[in-house]
Amino acid sequence: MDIGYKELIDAIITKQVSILGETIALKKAGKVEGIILNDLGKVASIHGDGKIVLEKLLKEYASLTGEATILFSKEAIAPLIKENSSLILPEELKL
Amino acid sequence: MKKFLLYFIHIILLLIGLSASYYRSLSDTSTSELIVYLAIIVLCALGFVYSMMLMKKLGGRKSIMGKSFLYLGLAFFFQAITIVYDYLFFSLADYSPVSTLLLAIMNLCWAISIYNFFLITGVSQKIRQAWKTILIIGIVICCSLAAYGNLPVSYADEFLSMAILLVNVILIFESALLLLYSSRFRGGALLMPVLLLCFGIVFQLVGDLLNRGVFQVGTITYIADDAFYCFSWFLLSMSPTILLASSKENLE
Repeated sequence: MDIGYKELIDAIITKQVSILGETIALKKAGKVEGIILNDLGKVASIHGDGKIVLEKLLKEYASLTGEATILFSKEAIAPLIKENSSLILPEELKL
Repeated sequence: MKKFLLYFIHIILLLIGLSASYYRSLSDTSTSELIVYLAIIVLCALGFVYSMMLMKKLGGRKSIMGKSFLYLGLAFFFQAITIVYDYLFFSLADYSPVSTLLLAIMNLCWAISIYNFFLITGVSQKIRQAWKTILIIGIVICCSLAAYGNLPVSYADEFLSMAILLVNVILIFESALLLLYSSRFRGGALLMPVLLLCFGIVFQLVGDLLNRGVFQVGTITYIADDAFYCFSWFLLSMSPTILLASSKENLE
């Protein structure tokens, strides 16, 4: 499977669901411009620059859990990044 | 407007509690004692209701934050029940371990709540595992001591006080550690509730340890401690309130 921004965003949202609960985590993800979620709460598609969408998603979650958001997100995407190290990540997510 | 009202009610309750504590220090009357207790009970009731509302919003027991607020809410509930029990069954307090058991359960609820908040700080797996082990061992020891304390009534005080002292020590370490890591919530709405929770608990437990060693069966507050306790419960109750008050911006 090709790892792209969609998979990274999906992994971050899944992690946030375990922390904030499904309702809040999906509501916050749904607010981010460029993220389309399906009925199961998974990322159906992303529109626009993946890196910018990722940054906006982090910002949205950070409004609640602050800088800790970056730590969970790094943890969530670490296995995916190993599979595709060529993805350009936002500065704060660089491992 | 709603936000202002939530804070206003808390501040009024704090002022009522502090004023009653002051009058009680001048002349020890049962009316001022009752007012202090009532102020704490209402603060606990508000804390319980708001914590449960947050728990529901945050996915209940399925999410880490949901669990944090569930156990925080239960801690408020057990404190309120303890005060009511002590007030209604004052004559039994010295012979029955019920109120101390309720306080032990309250302390364990705090410990589990703080542990769950601690998980959200994003600490390494190693530290998480170490704290989980300490918490489980602590709970097992405390339950064993409490179980012994329930057998012969004459030993109840000793065993239960030891159990509570142990949970107090675990709680102070947990709160201090959470305070240390709370800077990781910088920029997020969760920072203030976590700080209030930690300071509320540390404030209360350090007060307990300094003023009279450990909790004693059947005594909730002494005159000198009333203001201290009231302020501590104000801080604790403000913890879920402050997050709930900002829920429109942060949880919707």
